[in-house]
Amino acid sequence: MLTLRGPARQVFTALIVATTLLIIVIVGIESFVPEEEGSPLPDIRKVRARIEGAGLEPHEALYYEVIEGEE
Amino acid sequence: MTVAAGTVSLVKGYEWLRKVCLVGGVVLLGFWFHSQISMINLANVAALQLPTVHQNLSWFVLLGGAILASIIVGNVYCATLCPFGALQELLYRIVPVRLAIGRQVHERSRLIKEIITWEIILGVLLVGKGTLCRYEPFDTVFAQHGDILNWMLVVLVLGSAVFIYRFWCRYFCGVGVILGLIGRVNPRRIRGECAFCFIETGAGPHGCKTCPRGPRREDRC
Repeated sequence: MLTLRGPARQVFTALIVATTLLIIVIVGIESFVPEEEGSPLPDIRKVRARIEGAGLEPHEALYYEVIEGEE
Repeated sequence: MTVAAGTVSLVKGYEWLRKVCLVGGVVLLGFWFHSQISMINLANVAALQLPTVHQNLSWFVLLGGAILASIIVGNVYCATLCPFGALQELLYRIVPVRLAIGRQVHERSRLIKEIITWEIILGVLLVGKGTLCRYEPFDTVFAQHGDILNWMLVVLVLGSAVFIYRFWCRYFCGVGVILGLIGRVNPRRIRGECAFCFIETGAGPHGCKTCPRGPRREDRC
């Protein structure tokens, strides 16, 4: 087992800082993504309103959204 | 079943069972079902945006079981089931090189995850954007879903986890923070800071002073 002691603190600090900065950048970018595109669990009320607005049955709306997404 | 097995492994002190649960977590929860608990799940629960029960029963069982186990026993999910935690543990055990950092540095660095977690939760609740939680590397690893920045984070975190025990869990994981907080409801839960007990901090002990299951073992902390 090899234990690094001398530069360990500097290496550790660099890793922590780099990871923190990367997280901040990712969160910053995600904050500009519109909710409808990015949310893994969209607001069901918005989805329902969109379906009703388009005059579709729920299964039709899902079908068209999947096809559109693939295109 | 996995939550139950994880709970038994901690309560009875079966390290072999914990390892079995961790391997099962990586294979089943991670790569197969992509159903590990993430900040997105917890943020949606906090925002009362729940999926339908009959179509997402496994999601409810896993999340409900993890929360219940946190209250009754301690942070069972992080210690025995989390696929990303298990992956980090595996990497840590493969390479026999360690980074010796002091307890003070460790304790200070642990504050990062508290700050990030509460900032994110606050952002989700105030702005109503679940996408803010998408910084976690779970989906990128297990579902291979992420952009270049997500992959950079994965490489950085898993690379660090080779030398530092459960790097993400200890310093950045919001799930551990929240499950640990939920567990504080029960003052009689299992406490401890070593990797085996793991439960009190949800992050492993690095320099823990007391452990109800025996002396500290440095290679596991």
